[in-house]
Amino acid sequence: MSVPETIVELLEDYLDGELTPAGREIVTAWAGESEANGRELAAWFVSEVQLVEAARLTDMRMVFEGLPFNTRTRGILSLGNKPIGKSERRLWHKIAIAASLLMVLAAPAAWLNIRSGGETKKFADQARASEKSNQQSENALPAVAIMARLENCVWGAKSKPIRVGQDIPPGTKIALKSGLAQVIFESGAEVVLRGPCRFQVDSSMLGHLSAGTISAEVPSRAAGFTIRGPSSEVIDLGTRFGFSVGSDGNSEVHVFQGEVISRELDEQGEVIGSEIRLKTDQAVLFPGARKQAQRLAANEAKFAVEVPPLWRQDTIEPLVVERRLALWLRASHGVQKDKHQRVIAWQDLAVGHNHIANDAFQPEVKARPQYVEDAMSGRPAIRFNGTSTYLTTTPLTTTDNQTIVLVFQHAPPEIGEHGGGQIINYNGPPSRYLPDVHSPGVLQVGEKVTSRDGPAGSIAAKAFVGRDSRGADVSAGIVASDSLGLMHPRVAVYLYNNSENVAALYVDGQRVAESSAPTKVAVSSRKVIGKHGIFDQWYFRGDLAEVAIFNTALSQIEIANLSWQLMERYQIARSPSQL
Amino acid sequence: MVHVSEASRKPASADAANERAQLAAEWERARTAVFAQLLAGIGSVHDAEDVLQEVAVSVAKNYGTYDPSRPFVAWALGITRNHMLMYFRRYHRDRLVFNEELVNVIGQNLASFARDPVDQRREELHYCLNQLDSRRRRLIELRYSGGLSIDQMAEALGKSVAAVKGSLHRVRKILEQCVRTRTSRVHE
Repeated sequence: MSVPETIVELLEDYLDGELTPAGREIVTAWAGESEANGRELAAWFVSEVQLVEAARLTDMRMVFEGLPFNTRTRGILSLGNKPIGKSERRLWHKIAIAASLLMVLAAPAAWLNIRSGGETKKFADQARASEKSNQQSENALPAVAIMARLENCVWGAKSKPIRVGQDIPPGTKIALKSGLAQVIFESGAEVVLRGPCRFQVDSSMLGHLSAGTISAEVPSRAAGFTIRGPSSEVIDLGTRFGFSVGSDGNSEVHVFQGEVISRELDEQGEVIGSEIRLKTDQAVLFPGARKQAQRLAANEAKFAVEVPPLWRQDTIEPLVVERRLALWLRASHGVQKDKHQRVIAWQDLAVGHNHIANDAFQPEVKARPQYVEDAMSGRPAIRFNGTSTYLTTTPLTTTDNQTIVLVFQHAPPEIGEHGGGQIINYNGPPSRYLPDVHSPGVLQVGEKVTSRDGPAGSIAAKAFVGRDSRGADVSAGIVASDSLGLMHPRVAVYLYNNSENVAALYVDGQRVAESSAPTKVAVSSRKVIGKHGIFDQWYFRGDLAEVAIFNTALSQIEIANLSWQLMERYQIARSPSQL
Repeated sequence: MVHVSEASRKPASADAANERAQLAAEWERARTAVFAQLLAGIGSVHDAEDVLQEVAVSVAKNYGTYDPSRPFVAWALGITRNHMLMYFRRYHRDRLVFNEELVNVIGQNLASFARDPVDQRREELHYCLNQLDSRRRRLIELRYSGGLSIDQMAEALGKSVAAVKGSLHRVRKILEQCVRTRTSRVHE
């Protein structure tokens, strides 16, 4: 083995959780020096694994005798797949190491030399119990909705308050005595609850209204989104509607835009009677007790509920280009802060254009970026510390042609740290893994997007396409600027025009880099602002005053006009050629 | 009623048994690479072991989708990457990990290591471990069987962290040399 001792010491630190960022840089640099170093590094980890196995593997080959597995020629059988609880970890290390589910299930002759008797049965029983309990806990993990906006909420006695930006797992019951609460489902559906109200989030496509009034805004991608009441349900076909359940069991569905299917349910929740299709301005009353449903005229004033934003439309200077604007965050408006001026929510100002608010959130205190009143030419910005702070938007549908506009400035890096970091990444949770090059790519702006970091203070962008058959990363549309300096406001525009196979980077209105854009990138996803979409790495270090995403490839004229407007706002001087 | 003769049942059963054996053999060749990939990506032996278990189950569950014309280890490493992502999503950790690029470099090399015979190396490693003197074997036991950190080992042994690191490095070199000598002898 030829890994130098100094590197080995850092690798020891790594496995003990003691590696520093500077140490990581040293290991990364050494591994990148040559292909041979990369091989040696991999060999070192193989040796570690073999030593671990050699020290622990003995006598664990009898475990899990007789558990089922599936083959290519037979149907899939049930298999638990869960890690074990921390308290049991020491005992189960050996089981995990043996990977005995496979080793024993599919054992060749040597592995079939298994002890039998009570001990084996005990291990197997424990394993099954552990799998079952862990399966249950994992089932409870994935959030299916997020709490977006709140207005004067008084929570019911048995309802745990939910904070702005907090994930909502399936089965969560929300009881409001009064006030308004806006819930954004992972499907993209937006539901506003008006207290008094009792509502349960069941999945990303289903909610239960026991009592009270809700209003829903459902994008076409979430068609089929369903709200169930005690005696009726409404299935959305891409629309805006209101739904109420009265204390007497009556329920009403009012459609403000689009079309829904509404059906009466019996006490067991089974559909009775025929479905009723409702279009814009139509409504239906289900009187309950098997009485005939009655058609009505929709009453939008009564049923349309909206949580007022923190910003006022009439105080915002509009962008000179608003064509297909999908998201617009401006630090001077719509920022919800905690008492230390850390950002809880950064509200979308483009809600008027696409009807759905795609606010960005950070419910975790330690991960909240800082609001700074006078950050960029006297204007506010959100300050990201480069190590732990970021925001995540609600699910936002973006298209194959994209224009991303950022007003930002890089901060000087800490000693021993790298600056830059990713400003926006389109692969927020639940993040996609791209094992090949056939799925839509992931757009990302800021460092690190290339195999090597650019010069300090530069900005780069790309679409991560996936991995080739060897597992190597494939990217498209890679563009990078020269150094832009530190603490110097800049307007950056990344154009990804898949229709015309062109990607381009503009800085302060000037085209500084160009590439091709062959890959589709259309996706509905949360966007992460301030770090990589999946990994807790490449945190942005600097200030961010504006983020705008357009679901189109803006023209060169539009990009110039938009850039100049923002340059003027943030007092960025034009170059002589722009005057 | 459809009557299934004993003769017609046997081939299906034999196919399944063959596939079991094939999966076992392929997993055995890939397992070390998968574990090493997890260790490099996650940076914790304990957590890598947990995820290894999950990967093993996924490999079994999805074996029906595996294309035998492609290298098994590359397929298994692809599943491993998925599980690492799920792990990072599940646990928001403070521990510093290697960046994606470095982990991928390691993964690409691991795919080629898996072509090497592992059984013999494993046997030789067992032999060489048994040849260590008690002091050196104690070091290996504390680190790999006991799962102690270098700090904990230093405290247990009454030595400095640097001394423990140096000792471990030397023992590893001895083992590596021993394994290399014995495997080359077999090939001669």
